[in-house]
Order: sequence, then structure tokens, then C-alpha cells
Amino acid sequence: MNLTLYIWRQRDRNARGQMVKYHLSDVSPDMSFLEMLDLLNQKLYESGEEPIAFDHDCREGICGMCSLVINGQPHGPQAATTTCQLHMRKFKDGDTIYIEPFRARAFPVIRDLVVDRSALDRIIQAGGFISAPTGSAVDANSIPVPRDEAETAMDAAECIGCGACVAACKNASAMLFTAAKIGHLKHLPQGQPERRRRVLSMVEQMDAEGFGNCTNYYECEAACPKEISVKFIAEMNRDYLKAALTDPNYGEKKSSSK
Amino acid sequence: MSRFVRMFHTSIGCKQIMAVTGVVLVLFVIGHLAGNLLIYAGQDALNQYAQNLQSMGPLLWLARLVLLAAFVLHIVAGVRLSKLNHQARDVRYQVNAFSQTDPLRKARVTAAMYMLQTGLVILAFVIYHLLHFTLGFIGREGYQLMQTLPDGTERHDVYGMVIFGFRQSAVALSYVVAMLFLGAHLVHGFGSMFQTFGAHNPVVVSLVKVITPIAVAFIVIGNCAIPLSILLGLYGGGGS
Ligand code: HEM
Ligand code: FES
Repeated sequence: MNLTLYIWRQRDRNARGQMVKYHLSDVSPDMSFLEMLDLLNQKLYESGEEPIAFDHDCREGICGMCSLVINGQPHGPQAATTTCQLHMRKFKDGDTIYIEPFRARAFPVIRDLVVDRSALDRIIQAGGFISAPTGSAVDANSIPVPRDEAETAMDAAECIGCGACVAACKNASAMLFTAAKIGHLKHLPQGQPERRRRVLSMVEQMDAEGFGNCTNYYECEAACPKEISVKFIAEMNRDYLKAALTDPNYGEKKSSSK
Repeated sequence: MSRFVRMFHTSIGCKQIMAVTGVVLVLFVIGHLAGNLLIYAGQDALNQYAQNLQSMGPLLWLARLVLLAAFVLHIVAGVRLSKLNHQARDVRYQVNAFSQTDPLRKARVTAAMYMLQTGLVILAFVIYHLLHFTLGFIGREGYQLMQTLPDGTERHDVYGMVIFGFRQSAVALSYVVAMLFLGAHLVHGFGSMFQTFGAHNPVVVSLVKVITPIAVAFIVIGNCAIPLSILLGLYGGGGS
């Protein structure tokens, strides 16, 4: 396959970036999208040019490191697929492909196609955990969990935190991510004690990071490589409303979580 | 009150304020239309309805106050969130594409992208509409019409005023256009409310899918029928 690529190049956080055009030949349809970029980098390297920086790790769709907006779609045109799992047979010989980094104010570009997604980690730090006493481990199965609740919790826990929802959202909102992290704990008994505090602090951390707000477009759900449902956003909305109306401290000035 | 302030300053809380006020506005729009359709029951029916409303006194003012508060809050919250959302994507994409393929969903996303714009057109229309039919600063001649009752007393001739107003094509058409914008706003807004309150299960989702087109069609067709039937001379006696 022969391809024309337009790829975002940017030296560092503060530099001005731009789309740069590359021609790439001898692409096999069996290559993954990242292998195609590896091939391009090999050629750039051989000709003494700076290779293109992009994120990746497991290359099997589980770590959430790979990113990229390919022809306007996070993780490319194939539904329920990460960029690392996308294959070049999805494209045609002679295609032009535009490759951009995930765009959000909360995801500053570090270099070329690599963005800083640590804002998502800080949302988890704000409440995406349960507090458990240390010491001897509790017996497995000592806390019964209804099967459908366990399944729903697992659906939410499929989130790999890649940030495609943010990239796809017209408002760069991280609500699908945050809702999935809240959702997988709120469906389990272990998540109950901190449920109210969790939703308040995670949502407010999300706001503080500069993510947008959900206007119910549902592009996030369509772009999510794990097909997390927007019903978790609805659940988060409901939990937030309940906490805002009933939490005894909600009216006080912002609970300083630090 | 302090709960309200904190809600206003968060993304989800602010959106929920917009949704609550949205419910108030939607209920108002439906009630307002139901009342106005009395025009088709004749001059006496509409004028009597208007007189009854006027005679409610303090209750009418309470309702007006609630509506005004809802409207202002809705707009302030809408503008605040739109601004934040705009800032959240500081660098735009070179290529934009929808990931959704369902045509109905695409239509809703398109409506969703222009909520602020359609909302601002509605705001302009509401101001014009109040100056026109409620305060009578515009179209004074129609506003001054009076109906003389058999017992000799006079009352405001709302029926005559509406017929007079909508015989002018520019007036009638501006109402029609405004209602199309309201329809576009509600194509997304109606279903969006449910999600914002957290009502998302298979029953609600399929109900919203069915009710949205019915509710929007009722509001748009109902509201457009009045100016159009009068302008075209189908109702209210002879064309202009
Ligand atoms: C009769 C007048 C109006 C009605 C019935 C109405 C109704 C609604 C409803 C039901 C929603 C959905 C709330 C939600 O998503 O939870 C909404 C959202 C919204 N409205 Fe209005 N609205 C009206 C006027 C306005 C005006 C004057 C503005 C002017 C700024 C406006 C701006 C917005 C915005 C920006 C949204 C958010 C859209 C989104 O979340 O995608 N609306 N409206
Ligand atoms: S590289 Fe791990 S998910 Fe793509």
C-alpha cells in the first residue's frame, strides 16, 4: 500500500506545532496502525530525520497507552478498537490519513502525538479507590455480590483510561471516564461507604483539571474502544444530585480534599 | 442557598440547574400553547381565558416570577457551561468526523452543537414577543382593540389583537421561524434532560425516542398553525 500521511509535529509543550506531509510506500495491509508508524519512523531515522513520537505500550488493547485521532476519529475508524489493534487493511491503497494528537486543554501536547494524560490519574486519586484495612486478607467470596451488579461493575471496569472519550467529545469532557471509574465501585458493596464523597470529589477534580462538561452528544460512547455505556454518566449525574442535596457538608465552602 | 451556589459552580450541578429550569420552560411552553389554541374556539373563548388569567392577580405574578427566574437561570447556566466547554478544547482538530452512525443520533448531535445559538434566537424572540402581545409596545393598534360584552362592559380583545398581528406577513413569519428554532433546541434538550437527571434505562431511553418527536412536533406545529392559518386567511376571516 502507498499512503499519504499528514501528521502533527510539535517539538515540545511550548512550541508551535503543524501538520507535516509524508509519503509512505510498502505498507502491508497486515500491519497494525502503530507498525505502520514504526515503518515510517524507521525511514525517517535512516534519512537522519527526527522520528515521530507517539504513545504505546502493550499493543494488545489493554493498557490504554496508545492514542491518536485518525481522520477525525479517536483510535481510528473501527468501532471498539484501540489504535494498536487497528490494522491497515481498514484503509485503501492511495489513502490520505490525517493523524493528530488527542486534543483537550487538560491534555497538553508533550511532543508530536504524545499528550500528557495525568489529569485522569489525578481524578482517580481524588476518590477512585476504596479504603480497606490492611492486615490479613479477607476470605474470598465472604462478601456476596449479586450477579447482575457484578456484571455492571465489570462493564464499567473495562475502561482502560485511554482518554478517547475526552478526545471525541466536542467539549473535551472526561465524564465517561470519570463515570466509569465511579461506576465500577458504586456497583460493589465495597464501594458504598465512600460513595457520596467519591462522586463529589472526583467530579470536582474533573472540573478543576479543565475538562468540559457533558452535553449528552454520546460521541464518547461511540469512540470508546471498550464501549463503555453513557448510562454510567447518567448514574454519576444521579449520584451527584443526590449527594449535592443530602450531603450535610455540601453547602459549606468547598471541602478541601488535600 | 449555599448548596445551590456550589452546584452552580460545578459542571454537573450547573447542568442540573439548566435541566430543572428547562423542565419549567418546557411545561410553560406546552401550557402556553394549550391556552393559545383556544383561539380556534372563537373570540369569546380566548378573551375569557385571557381575562381569567389576568384576574388571578398575585398568583399570576408569582407564576411570572418563577418563569422569569427559570429563564434567567437557564440562560446564565447555559452561557457559563458553553464558555467552559469552548475553552476545554483549546486547539481544534484539522479533521472532524462523527463516530456515531445512527442518523437520528447524528441529527441530535447537530442540534446539540447549536444549543447556545438556538437558545439565543429564542431569547431574542421572547423579548420581541413580550413587547408585542404582552406589553403592546410593538403593534400598538392591535393591542388597543377592545371587545364590548353584551352587558356593555369592555375587555381586552386578545383574539382581535392576534388576528390583527398575524395578518402582517413579516410578523407571522417571524413567529414561525422562532418556533422552528425552539423545535431545534428541544430536539436535543428534551431527551437531554432525562440523562442529566440520571434517568437512563431501556424503558426511559425508548420512551424518550418516541416522545421527543411527538412533543417537538406538537409544540412546533401547534405554535406555527396559529400565525400561518391567520396569514393564509384560513382562520379569522378573509386574507389580508
Ligand atoms: C422557551 C425557551 C427554552 C426552553 C423550553 C429550553 C429548554 C431546554 C432544555 C429542556 C434543555 C436541556 C437541559 C439538559 O440538557 O439537561 C436546554 C438546554 C440548553 N439551553 Fe435551553 N431552553 C429555552 C431557552 C434557552 C435560551 C434563551 C438559551 C440562551 C442561552 C438556552 C440555552 C441552552 C443551552 C446552552 C443548553 C445546553 C445544551 C446542552 O447541554 O447541550 N435555552 N434548554
Ligand atoms: S498500546 Fe496498550 S492499548 Fe494500545
